[in-house]
Amino acid sequence: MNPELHQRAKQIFLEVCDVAPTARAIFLDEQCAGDSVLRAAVEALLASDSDPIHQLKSIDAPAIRSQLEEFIAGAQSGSASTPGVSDPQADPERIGPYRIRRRLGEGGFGTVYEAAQSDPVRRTVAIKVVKLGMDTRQVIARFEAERQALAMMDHPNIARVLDAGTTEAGRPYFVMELVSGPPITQYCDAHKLGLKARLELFASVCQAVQHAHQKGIIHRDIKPTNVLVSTREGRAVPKVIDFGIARAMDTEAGAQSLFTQQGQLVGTPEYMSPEQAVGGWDIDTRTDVYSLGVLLYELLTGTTPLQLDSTRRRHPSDLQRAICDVDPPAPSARLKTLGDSREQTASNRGMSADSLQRLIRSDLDWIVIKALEKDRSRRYETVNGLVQDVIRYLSDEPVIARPPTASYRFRKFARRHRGPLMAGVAMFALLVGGIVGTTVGLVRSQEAEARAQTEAEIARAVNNFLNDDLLAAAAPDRLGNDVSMRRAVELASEEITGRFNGKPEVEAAVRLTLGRTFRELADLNRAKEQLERCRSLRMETLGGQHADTLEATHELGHVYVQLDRNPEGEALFREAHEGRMRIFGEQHRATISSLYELSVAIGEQARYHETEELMMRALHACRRHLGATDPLTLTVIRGVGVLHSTMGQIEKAGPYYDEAYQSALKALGPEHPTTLLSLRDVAVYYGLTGRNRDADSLLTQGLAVSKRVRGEEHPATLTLMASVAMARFRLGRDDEAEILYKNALAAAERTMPPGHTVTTGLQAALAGMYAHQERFELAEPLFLASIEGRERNLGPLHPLTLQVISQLVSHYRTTNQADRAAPWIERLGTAEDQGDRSVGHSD
Amino acid sequence: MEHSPQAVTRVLIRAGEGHKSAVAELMPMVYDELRRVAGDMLRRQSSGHTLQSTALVHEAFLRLVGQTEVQWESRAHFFAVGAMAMRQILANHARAKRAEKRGGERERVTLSEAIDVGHGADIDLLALHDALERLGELDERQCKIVEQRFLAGMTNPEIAHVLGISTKTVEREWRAARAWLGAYLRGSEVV
Repeated sequence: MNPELHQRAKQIFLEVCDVAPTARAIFLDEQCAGDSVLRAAVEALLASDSDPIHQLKSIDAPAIRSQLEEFIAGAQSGSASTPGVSDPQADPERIGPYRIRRRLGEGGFGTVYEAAQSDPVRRTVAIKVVKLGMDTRQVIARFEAERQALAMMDHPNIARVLDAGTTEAGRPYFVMELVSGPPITQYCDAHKLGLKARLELFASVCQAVQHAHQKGIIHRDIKPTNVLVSTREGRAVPKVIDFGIARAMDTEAGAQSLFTQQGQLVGTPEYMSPEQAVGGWDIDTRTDVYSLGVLLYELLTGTTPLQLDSTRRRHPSDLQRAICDVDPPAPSARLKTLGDSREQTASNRGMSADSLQRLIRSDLDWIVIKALEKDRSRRYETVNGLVQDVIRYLSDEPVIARPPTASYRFRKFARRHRGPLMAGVAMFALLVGGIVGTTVGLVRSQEAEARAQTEAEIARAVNNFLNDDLLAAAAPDRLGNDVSMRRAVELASEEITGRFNGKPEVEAAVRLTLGRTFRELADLNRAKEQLERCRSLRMETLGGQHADTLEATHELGHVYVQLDRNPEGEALFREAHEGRMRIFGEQHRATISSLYELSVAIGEQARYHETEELMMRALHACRRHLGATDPLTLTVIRGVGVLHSTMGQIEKAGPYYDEAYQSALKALGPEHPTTLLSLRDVAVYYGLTGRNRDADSLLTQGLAVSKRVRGEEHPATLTLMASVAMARFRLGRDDEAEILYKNALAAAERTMPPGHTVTTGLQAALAGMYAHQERFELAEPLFLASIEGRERNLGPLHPLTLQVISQLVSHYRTTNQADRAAPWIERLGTAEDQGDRSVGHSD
Repeated sequence: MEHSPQAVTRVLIRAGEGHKSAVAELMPMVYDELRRVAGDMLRRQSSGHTLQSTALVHEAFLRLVGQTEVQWESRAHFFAVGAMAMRQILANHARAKRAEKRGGERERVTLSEAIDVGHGADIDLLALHDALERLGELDERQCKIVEQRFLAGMTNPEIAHVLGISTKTVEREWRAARAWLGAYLRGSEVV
């Protein structure tokens, strides 16, 4: 096919259209006269004409998006130059000493060229030639005034203005460092930069502007097209261009107006500060702060705060009113109103719309709002103030812009020092779970050891009781088919009353054993009953300082701590420790044990410094006197790990956990309660360091063992279930996580006293997951229940209570119920005012 | 930089009167506004929607000229420039896409291949660009007509005015061009 053939085919086609279909064949025979190529072409046209394409409707934007963006960038980017008409007059060959290479594009007030400089140095520059219509002399004069200062600016993120002059045609020009790259907003979208990256870029830009301010130069026209970003060695380098030019271009004629005499709009209204819009010469550095605020707004949301449509743009008074009076919505609020473009905006930031919504709240809102204050005395005073707040935000520190309530500072502190809040819940539950089964088996053997031959009778009696009566109680014919250890022990305990009259020591010994057993079985009230009785018996018969009494005291301490009555537990352990220290000395296992348990009881009350001190003492004693593989040593090592984690020093905790687990595995075997606890510690540690799959497999193993050995509803098992649920959730297996949490919670509610820490911990953990999934109607009641339970059991100011309250506050914020958050925030504030004892300090 | 409606209108009128230099002056104004409009439109569009290039040019016109009464002849010049801009974008896109392929050989993309991509109803841009290039080689005027009608949504009388031909001629040329495009895009080897 060639042009001639094409023309002929076209002619014939058009003619044959008017011919009746039946006569067409003959007509074609005539017209094409044996030229089969021609005929084929016409027939193809005819066929197409009878079934015309209707798809010629639209061009799909995303497909040509990047081209559109390049096109939009125009100006210095060089790819979408004005095509076609090249008027020789419009493109000079030389401007002053510079040789013009090519036209780069049309700028706001003139044309930009790429040019070469040969003297005094060879380099490529950009030259901006100002349009006709501006008073050349004034422009140049004003530029000269600033030239000195401009020359002194030397900043990697500022495009240098090198020179200025007048063309032969009398038009002023400016010579600048050639900067290539798209405007910062386009760059960020094209590279789908996330918030952190955008904020970092923004911070560089701010620092550049600050540098200029220090030299006395205000930009006055900061907008995306004046901040170009190029990629150098894989890094994004922003450069601010046109410094000093806006000022030089200012018209004088009295008050500066938004429009020039010719009716052309000066500046870009969306980026103009109120003081600029209103006119007058009173511009200072805070004008740039405002424009930077607009830029930040756009980087976050993809829109400018004020969206000025074409009608408004035309009338100065409308424009002025809009800029000076209309309050733009906060970035997070604007995101909500984006409608269809929400998804696009979010994907340009490399995340989902919901994630974006979540991230841009509170602090970022406040920073932007403060920069955009109409009243400039309320803005950041300097650009430095703005960038410092952005940096603070990036480091998770409180931003100045935020109203400084105590609760806010507390939460920031907590976040810095404690790691993810959700993990924190598991952490505390961990500590509690650790009480169970630590030293029981140990002490039992120690007790057997400590018993002298002369107490053989007691021992025998106890053994007999256990073996005979208990086993008898467990006999199928007595209990039917439903035999459980707990039931058996319950029954046996009912047998005691009256059994040992006249033999208080025996009774006490039996009750001790029963008490321990009940504790093992997590029947705390019965345990307490037995042990109280045991202790008072021994107090009566042996006195407060006897080893056996101290033993009972120690056991009772355990129960109180498990009942979350920690101050009482602390008192008991202290008593036990002091007594044992006196009798056995520092090196005795029993003494160390009481010391350790005392530290745990104090730790439960969040007095972490004391805890650390005591626990380390216990650890030293263990290592020195008991050896590295001793079960108590393992327990204490584990405890130190948990303590560090609780204090937010996860890196310090890691090695302890590892050691504890490995030693436990070796010395005690995989089914020992201590081993299981260590396993969970290691898993939590994995979780906190991102090794979620490792955590999951380890925990699943442990859960199976715990179920088998301790029972499906044992608090330690339940806590393990929560840990597995957390790991599954982190791996994205939400459904499994939910089932686990729910089952664990149901079991906890069934078997434990109301408001028990494990129950409330599970409630908070599940609520946290729901909140994460944005199933808020499910999250809220659980949060409230958890808080209520902890308030009642631990007190309103206990860190565990406050922790859940923090989560609740977060949740309210996310769902825009800030008014409901207010009373809770008060509570957090009160807590902090009371000395911040609640959070560990690790500065 | 914003151009005031009065300034734009003045240029448009002069272009309508036939002053060649006015057309040249019009270009940067149109481009500036197109950039602005395109930027806004891109921001508002989500990936599921199509951006009508015709809408782009229309919007740019409205924004620049607004309510001012302009003769349709002047308006036509505006749109012709808009059409050129759109064509440029298309060409850039094709160039970029080609560069991605091995050696950048020119393969002809037919409609039937193209139609599976994306939303099905829209013509693949490469195919369209190919077709326009080819048509331009064979018949410059037809190509211009397609460009102005399809990319900028100009009416036949407007096209006729800008190209300096009769409306009837435009109608005929358009019909033939559309037939040709249909055949070409469907893979015909003979047109």
